[in-house]
Amino acid sequence: MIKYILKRLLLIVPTFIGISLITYAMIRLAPGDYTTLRAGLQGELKAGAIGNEIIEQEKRLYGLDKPVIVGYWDWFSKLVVFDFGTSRKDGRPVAERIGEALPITLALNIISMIIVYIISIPGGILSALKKDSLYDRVSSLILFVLYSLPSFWVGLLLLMVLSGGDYLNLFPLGGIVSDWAEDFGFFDRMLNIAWHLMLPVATLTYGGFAFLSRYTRATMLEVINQQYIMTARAKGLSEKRVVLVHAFRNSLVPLVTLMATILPGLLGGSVIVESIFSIPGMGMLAFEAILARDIPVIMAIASISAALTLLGILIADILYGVVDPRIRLEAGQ
Amino acid sequence: MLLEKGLIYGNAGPYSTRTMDQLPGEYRIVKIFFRFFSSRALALAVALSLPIGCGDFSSVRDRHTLYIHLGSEPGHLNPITSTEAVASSINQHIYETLLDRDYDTAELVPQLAESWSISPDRLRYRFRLKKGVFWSDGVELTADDIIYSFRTIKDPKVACAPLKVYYIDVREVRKIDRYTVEFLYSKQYFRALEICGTIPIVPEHIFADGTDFNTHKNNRFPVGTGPYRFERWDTGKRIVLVRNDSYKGKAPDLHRIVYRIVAEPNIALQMVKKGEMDMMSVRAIQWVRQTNSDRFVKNFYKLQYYLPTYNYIGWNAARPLFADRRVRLAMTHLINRDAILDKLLFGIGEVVSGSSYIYSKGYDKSIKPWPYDPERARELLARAGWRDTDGDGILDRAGKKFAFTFTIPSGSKFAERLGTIMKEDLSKVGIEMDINRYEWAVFVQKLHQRDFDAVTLAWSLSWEDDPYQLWHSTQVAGGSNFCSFKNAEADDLIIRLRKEFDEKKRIRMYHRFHRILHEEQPYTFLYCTPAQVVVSKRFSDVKVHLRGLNYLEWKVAAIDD
Amino acid sequence: MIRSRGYWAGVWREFRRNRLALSGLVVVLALFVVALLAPLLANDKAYIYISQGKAYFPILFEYPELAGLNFREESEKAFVIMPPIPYTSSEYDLDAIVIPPSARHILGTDEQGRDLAARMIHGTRVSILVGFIAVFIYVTLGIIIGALAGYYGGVVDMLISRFIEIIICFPTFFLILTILALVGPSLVNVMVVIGITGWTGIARIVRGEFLKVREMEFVQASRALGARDRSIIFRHMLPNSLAPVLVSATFGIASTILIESSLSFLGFGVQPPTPSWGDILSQSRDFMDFAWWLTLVPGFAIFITITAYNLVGEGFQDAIDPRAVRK
Repeated sequence: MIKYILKRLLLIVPTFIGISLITYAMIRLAPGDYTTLRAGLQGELKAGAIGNEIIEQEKRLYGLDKPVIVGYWDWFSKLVVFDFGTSRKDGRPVAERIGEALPITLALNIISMIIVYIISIPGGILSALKKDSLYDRVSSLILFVLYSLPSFWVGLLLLMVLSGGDYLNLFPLGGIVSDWAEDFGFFDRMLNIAWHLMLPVATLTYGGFAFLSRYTRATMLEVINQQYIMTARAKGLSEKRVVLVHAFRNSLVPLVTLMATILPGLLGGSVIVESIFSIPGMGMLAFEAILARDIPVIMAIASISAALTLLGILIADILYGVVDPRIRLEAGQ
Repeated sequence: MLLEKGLIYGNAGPYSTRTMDQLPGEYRIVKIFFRFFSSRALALAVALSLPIGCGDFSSVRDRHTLYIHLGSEPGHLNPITSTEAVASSINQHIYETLLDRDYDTAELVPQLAESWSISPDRLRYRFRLKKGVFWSDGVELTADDIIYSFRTIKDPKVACAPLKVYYIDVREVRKIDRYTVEFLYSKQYFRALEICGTIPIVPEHIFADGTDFNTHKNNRFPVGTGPYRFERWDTGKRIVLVRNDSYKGKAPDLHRIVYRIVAEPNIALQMVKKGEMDMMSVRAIQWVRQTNSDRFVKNFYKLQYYLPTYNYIGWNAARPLFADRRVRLAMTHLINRDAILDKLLFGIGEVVSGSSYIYSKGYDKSIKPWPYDPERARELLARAGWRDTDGDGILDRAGKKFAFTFTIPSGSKFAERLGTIMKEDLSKVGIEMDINRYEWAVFVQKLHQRDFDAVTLAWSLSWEDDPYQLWHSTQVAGGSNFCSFKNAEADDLIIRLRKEFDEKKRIRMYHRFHRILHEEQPYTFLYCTPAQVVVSKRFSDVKVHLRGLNYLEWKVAAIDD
Repeated sequence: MIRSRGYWAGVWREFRRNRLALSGLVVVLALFVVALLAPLLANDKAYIYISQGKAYFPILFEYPELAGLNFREESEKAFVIMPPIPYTSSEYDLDAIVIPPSARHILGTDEQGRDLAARMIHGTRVSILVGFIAVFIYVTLGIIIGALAGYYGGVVDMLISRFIEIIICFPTFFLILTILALVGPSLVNVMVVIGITGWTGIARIVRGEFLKVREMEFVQASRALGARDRSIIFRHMLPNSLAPVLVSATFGIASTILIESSLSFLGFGVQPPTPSWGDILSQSRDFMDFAWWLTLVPGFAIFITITAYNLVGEGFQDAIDPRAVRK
């Protein structure tokens, strides 16, 4: 087991280098770079030649004159000591910018995920047990309808309608905490934050129900029709016991795996939801960094999320073995 | 501040936009839906809002605080390295310069300088500083700060390329005494006084601490001499300025200025309506359609003022298609500028015919924009050799079809609408046009590489305009003359104009230059549109000046319910 | 175990029993018809135009003598039969900007006075194109890559699995955005980019299925008989794995349409004036509080379409899974 984990961990290193190198090359080769973007049009360029010289000077300052592979090596050698460099936009360490955005996104995503799991798993189980019943059909239809609503549309409608000045005024218009809530006690402050997060969380979650409950339903159905469940039923165990103890426990396997692969997704914010609700999270950070060609920020976010995805895959594989002892890790898949 | 040829579509951040939009319609269904919904939701509303205690925002905030909408967040507030328009709009309250422009006349007036003198050869500019001006941390401002700022701008390790280009011709800044500095120009230039007088000045004792200037910690904690000092910055949320008590000038009535960062303009307007913000620049559509309710008009001033800007369609003369003056002129005749202004922009703005600010002396009012005239356009195209010889409905010349792409920046809805209208109209005379929308970084790259057929953009100008960067033929290679405009007479005019200190003579040259542009049509000049701002009536003395609004003179209105 | 014609007939029988899935299928087919007939449904050229004793069919043929004629205004003077929506998707009218649904414009007009119904009808083509072509690209890629991994196993499988791992480490949406920034957004690029970033799911399914069947008798038998790899893969193994791939593809079309509309929202979608539903929706942002038709119509169209595809996919999934079918 330990040998297996070690082997997999070692394999992560080349994979990670591959991912970060591709990312770096992609941004460097993309048309437009930070210096041109900033200098090119904002100011008058006095004399063409001199103007270009000044821009070249600034490119050298940011290492944009070096070949891609050298630039990558510069980045990578700093990464090894966990130095992500400084953001082009505001000159602050990238770690500091991520440190600001990450807690917000994490909070939003964890809350959303808990809600999705709490609602979808029982819903999915029920759907599976009552397959083809009215409940199954209606709930699946509703879930698909929800899943099919574009989130930017729903987000904007919710804001216009529930927090605007024109119709209802129930929620704040974006942000995370009110200006005046600075001096509130802990509890009141949390309440204020919860009040702000309600609409974004709603926008983030409604689409997720469909996927997870369909997934639960499918795995449950698979398990229910297995031999041993039939046997359990035949033995005269109560239906409740059959479902909760035997069927559900076995359908946990894919659910656990799913959870592990969702891990890196926790860090990635949704640009759309964040821009609508004025939330300064990871999604906006990444999106703005891409548009501004802010290489250190893009690289930091990409490498963190890649590392987590790789770990997620590994954890999922290990968990697979823990939850379902029938799977031998050494055999691969 | 040097507010220069920046791009309007882009200078508020890479993807935020200042677009010009519109529209009529009816409120019906949504309202009905709401009446039905609201009875049900009422109970929920009470349940939710009461325990959190957040009913009315205006009741909890300080009346002496001005809340301003900010559409995008600046990276930092260092006036030397920052290029963002949002940053300079904040910095103008924190930092001061030697000279400032008068709010009503836009003439240069003393700010940090007490007086100035210019040598007879117009190469030396001497400024005498006011005594007893202190940075907000209590250190006195002296000539050394100005010399430090100048050296910083010149330092190759400092990332301020856009600013550096202004100071190429400034050889040196000399300290005469503790309160006197002298700028030495290497050649005569009519804007030299402005360039020297508006050099950004940062405190030497803060920045010269041996750390990297580009990433200095005070870039996000500015220390200035202006009427406000920086208080705090909550990234992604707000920037707070508070009145600077050591400021020697008249103390403003507003104790604080809070800039709230809200990227989505529709949401920002809703916040204004709810009283969460006092001031916001609105788009044409919002101005015309969404800010006219009785309640809104009762609570907000709606103010309009022009600033030196214009937008245009540029034709790349380096491409064979648009090298011919007649073709460019035909394109102008094919664009119904009046109708587009009228309908898409609700008639708010002016059609312009040249590159100078329409309300400046340099703009020749006797030159009228070319009219919309498809017939004349067809004629011009035919004379240039473009005819439909093979009967496929598309013009051709020497076996080549008349087809081109129109490059626009993504995020500008006006550009998109303009493009789709052009596409449809041009197809009627047999011209094939495709629209290519690029994100800002790519768009800029395309301009730099001159890799486009036609493009739409906006320029914001300085109060005294120097056409050199946009129009001189030397700027085709590396400057901002993207459309490869080359004209010997214009080149000569521009060079002479830059050395002419007699305003009357200069204006005559501007007028002649305007005429050349009108004849040559390197651009199809579009509109000069005004800024549109809504301001809460909580404040009095809100006046519109030539340069726009001045918060320093605003008063908090007496309480009335 | 070979899935023959009888197998698919059985799947269809199962599918038919699911009324929701069937209605989804009807919607999908209806959209196809609309897309196919779009130029006939919304056009400014008349079906039939009879003037001075001569009959014309302007919608089918070009008549030089009728060039520039506005058929809508001819009905007073001549006999004209117009299409149900007598506008094209690009024809603008600055005097009819954002007007609510009326007899003239049954779904109202947009911010340039273009007929919304015409744009919606032509937009059907875009959504179907984007959905099908992008999914076709990634299904093809996924099948090939997955089949290689699953069939050969060993080192090939190891390398391909690592490669898949690399690809899924990129957050898809950001990957798409970045590539579109690189190549410039357009209808073709949107389809291709979604196509080349979306194949990992399919590849994993195919790989899994192949690993399952590769040791089975019929595969071993064909191998023993000296069949070539290509023929074993495509003739014998692939048909067995096709069902789950098709299910996943059906869901894929739905999510592709969603991705396209999200890209349009961020300004990375198709180039104007291509009438895409997502683009119409994102354009309507500025008028949300009063121009309800500009928001509700495309929003509704998108979600009906996606719901339909998902219901079909769901019904399909239930139908092919014999374990789930028999209780």
